[in-house]
Amino acid sequence: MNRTTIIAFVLLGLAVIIILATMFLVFRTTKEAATPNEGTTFPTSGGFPSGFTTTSTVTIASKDGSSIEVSDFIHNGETIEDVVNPGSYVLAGDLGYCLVDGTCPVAADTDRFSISYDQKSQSFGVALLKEPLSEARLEAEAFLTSRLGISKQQLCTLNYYIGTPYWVNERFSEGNLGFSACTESVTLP
Amino acid sequence: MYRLLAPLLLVLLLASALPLPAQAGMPLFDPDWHIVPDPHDFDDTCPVGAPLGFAGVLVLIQNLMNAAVSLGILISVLVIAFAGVLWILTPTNPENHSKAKKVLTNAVIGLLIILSAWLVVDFLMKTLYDADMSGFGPWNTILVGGEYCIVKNDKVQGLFARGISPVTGGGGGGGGSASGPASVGTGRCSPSTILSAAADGGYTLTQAQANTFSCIAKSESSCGTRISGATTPSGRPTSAYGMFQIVLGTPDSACHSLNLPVCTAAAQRAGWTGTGNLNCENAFSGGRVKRGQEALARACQAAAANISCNVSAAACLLQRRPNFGDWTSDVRSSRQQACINTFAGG
Repeated sequence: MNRTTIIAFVLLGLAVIIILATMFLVFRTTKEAATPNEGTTFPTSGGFPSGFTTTSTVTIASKDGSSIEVSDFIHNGETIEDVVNPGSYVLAGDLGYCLVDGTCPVAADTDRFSISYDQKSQSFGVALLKEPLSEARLEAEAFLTSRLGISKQQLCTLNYYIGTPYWVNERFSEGNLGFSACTESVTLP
Repeated sequence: MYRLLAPLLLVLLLASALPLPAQAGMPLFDPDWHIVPDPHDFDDTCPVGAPLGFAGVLVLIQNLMNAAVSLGILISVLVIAFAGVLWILTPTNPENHSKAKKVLTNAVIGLLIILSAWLVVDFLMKTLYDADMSGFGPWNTILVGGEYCIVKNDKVQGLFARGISPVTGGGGGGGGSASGPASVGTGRCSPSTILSAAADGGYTLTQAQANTFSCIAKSESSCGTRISGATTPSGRPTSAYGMFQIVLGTPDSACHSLNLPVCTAAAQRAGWTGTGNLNCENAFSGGRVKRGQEALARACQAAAANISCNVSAAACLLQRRPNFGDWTSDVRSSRQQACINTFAGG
């Protein structure tokens, strides 16, 4: 075997190694892409509007300082805990982040609004995420009345903030828009 | 036999090497990569296509260097392949043999010079500018400061503006959409919550600053209710997260990178096992998660979702730009500007 033949075989060997390395990289990347990430949902007991079960009630503070009895919306199999903010819960929409292991907990599945609850201040936060905002607000109200087991008028007595971020609607992004049945309600497009 | 073997080898080598540049993240092979950067990709407050500021020019220089290195590596590979083929095709011709050897040697030396020049620049810049930096990487990331874009200043005051006191009780006229009523938030974005959250991260805010932040939080994230999903005016997704929409991925040493102990602690609640700084700038590029950095990106997003971390990062940014300028550069930020006018004196 002369020197040229040896070089030829060395080059051939290199080519095979490069092909194998490429295949390894390609398959490894494909596997990573299949790992659950932001677009993956974590299994819940069901989706909006009928994925909850609750029989018990809880008492929460109302705006005027008195208390109001509502269905247990935290332990209804649908609401999820905001693990990085202890005492906060998400009733509808996703958390806004995924856990490091790739699972992305999602509460009631909707992209039109997001509802959270802060146990410390006993207040609800509602973000309207799609135009027309008036329709999104009505849907959010329907969701809350069904989960809390209260009327639209009773919604007005809750501690709540309902708004929309500036990147959804700049004009209505400042201030509490109010639920539609309440006196402080803002007329929305 | 050799005449058949050589082309086969060349084709095999080139075909197998083709996917490698893309896999290795060589910028020239990334379809989303441009030599002239869009400052909006680095700073969401910059309008799309805005002129480059100082930091933007540094990114441009970095891109030119990356392109040159990528091109150099590509040419070296082709020259080495050519030398190998020349060697195989003319096994008995000593002249071509020595020519092939010379080409091969020069190509390898050239490649070594390219790569070592890169490492020398990297080492020198890190030593001169920031001794705490370790490891190899794009050298311009250590150059903190400066603006990514140049934005026209529409708020220039008149020569005697400071000497004229505003007339009170004038009915709030004039000023367009930014002069509307502004109020502080309640619940999780109340001024008291913000003061307390900033203190968790070691920052002390004044009451006026807390009130301003409280008001801004309503427009930025509906009082912290919707912390992700922000888009640019043209509808592109951004890497802004949390109550104050902190843009992750903008290179800096603390604020945008969430290099704060309170943020590391928050990420650990979401399963992050690291203990030091998060260095979130390593996980994002132009509003997107970098390939291979998915776990770090998730840790950063989870940390940014934490109120104490986000408020601390916002307070960190406020220390650098006390005029709340990080929240008013977007063309849609009239409500945020109204908050500043009302609570921070404009």
